[in-house]
Amino acid sequence: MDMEFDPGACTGCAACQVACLDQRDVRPMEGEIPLLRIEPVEQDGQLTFRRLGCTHCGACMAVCPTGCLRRDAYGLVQAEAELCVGCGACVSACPLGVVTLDIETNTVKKCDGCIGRRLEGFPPACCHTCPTGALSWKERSE
Amino acid sequence: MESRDRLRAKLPGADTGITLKNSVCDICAPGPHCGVTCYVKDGEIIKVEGTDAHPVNHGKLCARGLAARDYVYRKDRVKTPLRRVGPKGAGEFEPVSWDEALGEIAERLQDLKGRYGASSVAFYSGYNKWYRPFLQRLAYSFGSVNYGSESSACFTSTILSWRCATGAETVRPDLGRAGVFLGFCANPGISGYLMNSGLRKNRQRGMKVIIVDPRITPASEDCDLHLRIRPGADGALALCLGRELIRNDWIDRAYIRDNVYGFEEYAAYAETFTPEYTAELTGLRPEDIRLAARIVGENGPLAINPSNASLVHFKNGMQNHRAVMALCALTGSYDRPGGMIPTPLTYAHSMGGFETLEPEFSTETYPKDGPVPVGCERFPLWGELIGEMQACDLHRAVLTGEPYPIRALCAHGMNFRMFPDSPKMAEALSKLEFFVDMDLFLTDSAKYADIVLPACSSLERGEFKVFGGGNAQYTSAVIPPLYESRRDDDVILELARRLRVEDPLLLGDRDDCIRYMLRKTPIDLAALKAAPDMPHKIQGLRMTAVGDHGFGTPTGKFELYSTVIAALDAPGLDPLPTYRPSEDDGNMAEYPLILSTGIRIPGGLHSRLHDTPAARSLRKEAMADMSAEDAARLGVGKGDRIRITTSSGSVTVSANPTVTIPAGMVSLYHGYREADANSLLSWDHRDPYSGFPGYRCIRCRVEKEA
Repeated sequence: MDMEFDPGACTGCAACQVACLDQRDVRPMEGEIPLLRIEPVEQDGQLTFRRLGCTHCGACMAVCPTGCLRRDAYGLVQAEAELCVGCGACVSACPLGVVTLDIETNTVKKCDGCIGRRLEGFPPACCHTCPTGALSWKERSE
Repeated sequence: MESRDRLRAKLPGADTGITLKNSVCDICAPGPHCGVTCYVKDGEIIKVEGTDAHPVNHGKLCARGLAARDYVYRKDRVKTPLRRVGPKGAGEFEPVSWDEALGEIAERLQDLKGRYGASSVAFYSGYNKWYRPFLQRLAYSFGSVNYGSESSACFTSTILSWRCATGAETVRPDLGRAGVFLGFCANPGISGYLMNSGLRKNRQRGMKVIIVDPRITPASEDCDLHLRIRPGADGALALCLGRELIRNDWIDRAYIRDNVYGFEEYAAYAETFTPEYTAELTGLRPEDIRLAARIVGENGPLAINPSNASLVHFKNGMQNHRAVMALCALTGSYDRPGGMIPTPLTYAHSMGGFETLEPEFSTETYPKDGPVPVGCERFPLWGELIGEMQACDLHRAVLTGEPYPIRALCAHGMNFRMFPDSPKMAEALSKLEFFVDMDLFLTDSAKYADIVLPACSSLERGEFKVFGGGNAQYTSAVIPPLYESRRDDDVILELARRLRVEDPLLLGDRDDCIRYMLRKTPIDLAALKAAPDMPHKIQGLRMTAVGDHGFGTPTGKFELYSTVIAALDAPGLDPLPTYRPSEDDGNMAEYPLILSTGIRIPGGLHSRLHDTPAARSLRKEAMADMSAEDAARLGVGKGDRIRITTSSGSVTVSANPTVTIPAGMVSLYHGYREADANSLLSWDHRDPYSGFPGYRCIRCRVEKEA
């Protein structure tokens, strides 16, 4: 995955999470699952945070019966919502719980790595807003 | 890329019809406002992000600001002026025209003024603060002394303590040159996020960081020493640190000789706070306190947390803050490079690094023959140095008629859940003869109003703004005001006309009022308006150099012994920064835990974002954070329902056991309709110096709900 996360710098401010909701029109209060979550980790009396976001592992792609989930030229798993029948297999298969169904269209919605933004030189929405530098990304060539 | 894909990615361009427009996010307090860039398509905002070239936030934005689109398009926006037709609080209204609404308001206010006197009408500002100079002037020009704001519980105690000590209003840490940062209640990862990277960066260059906070926070996990103090004991720790600095001669004797008043009295008082005694008061270990003193003593200059609220939200809050500030006097760190630098409130509670005549504009029509403003007698130091209505006494004036009855309220952004014993404030709203509230949303408070006026957000208006370092901007609207909403300042000026106040300035043009406030600066308002996209660095401003601010106190020095407080000779107010416990009178056996309300959460900004979906999604349920130990003792797991009871009331919420909260403490965020933290707070649990409610130290008990 080309997103990098430095848990030592993260303060759990969740700006990335809300930036993603805004960029992708995700509505968790109406039942959609956020495509990116920041969660506290409390271990041995210490507080750190973890980022739960798509690693483009392909687990969703493997169970998709219609082929609407495909790996693109940049190695990112992309959803072609027009082909989706809304069966929800991908939602169940996602090991991190960061794939959702759009409540209006009942089709899959997942992290696209903000590929459209990146192709025109804009950072991914989550990385753009991260005030601590905990989130960064690397461009990789085709 | 195909247009379809560009549209999906929300990229600006002729093919997508998306344009970018810059504005300012004003969801939080004005001090740290950020520049936002809005993606607009067909007149609708479809995305917001931080403005890359903005001198404050450099493209960054917090979770609250990123929820701005949801905030602007909330379902409960007030769409038209409303007149109440049902019982107060029920939310039954009929739409009326602006002309009708303003006509009725003017008529009712004139009638009440005629019957009871102008000061029976209180003028109040909640969030946000951008129109406040106009509202304050309107109150005074109307003839009422009772202008007040939510700053009666938020920011002003900090101003009050600096005014006592040095005569300054607000003071900022010079982190770039500081040797040590002493962060009482500092958690900038979650509140005031822009300071977080400053701490990190300067720690990497060698600045020491001490965090004083009962909780484990991102800040406490990234510091040189974390002191998990008992809530409210901050003043005792600060006095002990002062004692240790003096005993070890880690003080700047030349600075003290030339610039400090009351050192001997302070030193004698602080001497009683031995590390062992202070350890008992604070729950800390004596060796950790000594270590903290050593770190401060050996690593100057000293910068402290410019706490707006957290440190002063205790019954002894202002005195605790003064005790912390005193360390700047001892180490010679006030108005010195790397220390605490005075910086004026430039305009509408923002700090631009320069002065304007806003104070003159706001107060010059103050009625000279009026009574003492509400709360100023009860809190004489507030009365002496602030002089506005102490709004946290508003419900007392309405309900008991003390010191005199308030009959009507002309409010912008009233929120009764902010007030100590909030159900009493709701009751007060229902007892008013006339109540008008202007707000973006039909809030539970607005439901008590006789007339509700629809306000617009910062993205729907242009406004004059200042930013640190001598920057100013006159924004332009990203979208026109939604529905029939209007800008607060225009409504204030229109009301001034209809009330026929004898105030030519207020009967004139908005920009002329601003020009009047700016008349001793080189700012060209027309030039700013012509280039609204970005703040502009103003050339030729007079900025005071570090070291040249002087002291605006009666002695002309940093007063450790406040001559202003001494002159008041008020019972219970001490000229020295004395320490007293901050707990309320609740019985310890019955209420063994300490409840702290108002500790910040990433998606919360008072109650403003509880009904804003994107922000609310970060913590959907009202939850109380409690220690894993206490939870285990009570058999409470995550999500279990618990009842929190204080001597004032009881609420039921879900439990969130966490290692971040120490045993004996419970934290509940405020402003929830379904679990109102301030209903647990007595209206008399107040700081006698500032009148601030003691939000962060309330005795309570917790029980598991069956």
